[in-house]
Amino acid sequence: MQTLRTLSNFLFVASLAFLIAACSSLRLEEVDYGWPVETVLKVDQDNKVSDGRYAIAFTVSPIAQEEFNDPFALAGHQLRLLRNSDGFYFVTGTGFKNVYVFEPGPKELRLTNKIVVSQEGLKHPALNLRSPYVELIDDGNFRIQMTNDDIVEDSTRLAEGGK
Amino acid sequence: MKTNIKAIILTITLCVVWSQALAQQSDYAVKTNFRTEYDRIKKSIDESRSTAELEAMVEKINSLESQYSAKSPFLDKALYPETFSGMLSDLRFHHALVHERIFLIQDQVGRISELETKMAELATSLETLNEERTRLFAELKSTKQSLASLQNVVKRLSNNLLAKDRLIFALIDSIFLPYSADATQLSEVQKTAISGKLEKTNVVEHIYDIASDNVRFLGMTQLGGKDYSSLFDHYYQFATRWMGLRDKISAIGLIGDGKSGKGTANAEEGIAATQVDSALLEWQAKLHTAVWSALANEFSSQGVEVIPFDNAQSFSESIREYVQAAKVTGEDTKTFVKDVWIDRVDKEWRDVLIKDSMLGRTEYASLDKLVGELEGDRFDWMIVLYAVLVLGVGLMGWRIAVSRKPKPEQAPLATKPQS
Repeated sequence: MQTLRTLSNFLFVASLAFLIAACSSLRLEEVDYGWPVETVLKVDQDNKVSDGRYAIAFTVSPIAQEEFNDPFALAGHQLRLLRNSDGFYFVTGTGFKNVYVFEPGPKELRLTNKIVVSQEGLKHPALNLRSPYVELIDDGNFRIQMTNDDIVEDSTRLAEGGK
Repeated sequence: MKTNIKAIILTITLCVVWSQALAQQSDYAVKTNFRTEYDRIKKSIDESRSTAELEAMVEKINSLESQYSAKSPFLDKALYPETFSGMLSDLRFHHALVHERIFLIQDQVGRISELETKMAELATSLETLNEERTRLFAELKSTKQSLASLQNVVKRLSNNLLAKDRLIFALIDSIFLPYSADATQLSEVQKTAISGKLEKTNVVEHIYDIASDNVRFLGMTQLGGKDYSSLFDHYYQFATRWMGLRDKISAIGLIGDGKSGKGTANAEEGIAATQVDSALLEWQAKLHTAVWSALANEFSSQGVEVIPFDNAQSFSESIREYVQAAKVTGEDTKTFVKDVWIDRVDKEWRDVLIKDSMLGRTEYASLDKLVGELEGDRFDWMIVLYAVLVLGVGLMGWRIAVSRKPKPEQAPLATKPQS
């Protein structure tokens, strides 16, 4: 009898705790973070970029170090930035061999993926939002569609015969 | 055959590559290209100088719309807060505004051209009048000919000055005619255009010359009462028109007047508005002095001694004093009443004296009545004349009536009876 009572009390408390926890985590689903168009940012001499429309600013030296082994390699150059529907930031630029995928956190962007897109380096890249994918195009017929994890479609270069 | 096949393959390859390239268009490039083309068309509209150029812009706007209409959902997001349709609408509205402005300007160009031609003609006429004026002044100064010749020269000079007056204000009207009557509503571009024309035609200097010429004219001539009446009218019309023009050109900022603190290119080199004001004051003073002086001469030339006067108030007091004294002393006032007042003052000077800037109608009538009280005999003779006239008319009427009365028939003569 005592055991039964203890068990029922325990269940009651557990249910109550669960209920309280459930009430405190309001969730909005199917949020679309996607930017309709990429933003092209010029890197200043302090190695920083900032965008007025989307109100985002960060330093690019870690990216430059990762990509070019030189933290100042991007100073005075352009960086292309696009946010996909899931909220991940895709970053690339002229001369890049990779597309960097970042996840936003409190006062930080954490690298979640580094997608190899070119062996020679991109010439005139552009990022397009093609939900649910992000499309990377470059000179000629270069076209890649990506998620934040990987490439899902890679159109062949006709000149290279479908690699 | 092999060549044809190769050509076909190459063509197909190029088509595929091209289609792929089309499919690989950067969204960012679409946005920037649209924005660039939009700005370029807008700039072209702003720089258009004719309606024909603007007509070409309509096609470009339509072309821009058709080129990017398929991308409008994307552009609405990319251009936020602007939208594709909103931007095109703004562009068309801007085009319409510019078109209306240029159309109006083109329409006015022809009219302005006519007015400028007229202005040039007026300016030439003005110079001709100036030369004639100079010659007439010299002639007036040096002539020793008969009174009739002198009077002729004076008349011609007076007409010259009046013609010049009309001409200069016709010139001013031509300058201001295309623009708003309210000079404070003019745009800076319009003010610049007007001030340029005023400076080019030396309007203010001409006005100053007219005022100075009239002062000089008054100093060189002795005119009669009736002449002064038209001179008064001329002066006040001129002064009124000058004040109207002065306000307009002050609003334009052409002339520094010291009061408003606006300085202009003309303030140092040319005639200032204050100089014209001074010339007008001198003209007015000269005119009044000439009138009272000439009027005093009417009395003195007949040997009538009145208290000297030099303005309306002193003239009125002088006449009243004279009449009062004459009533008291009982002196003979025939010369004063008939030879001076009736034959000269009332006939020749009445039109001048009744002006508001002189005696005024009421005061003149009062003085006339006062003088009339001295003229008792005149009214007696008039009554006699009226009586004679009435009697004469009555007699004539009686004679006519009598002559029309039918005569009675005469009875036949009675014959003497025969014995």
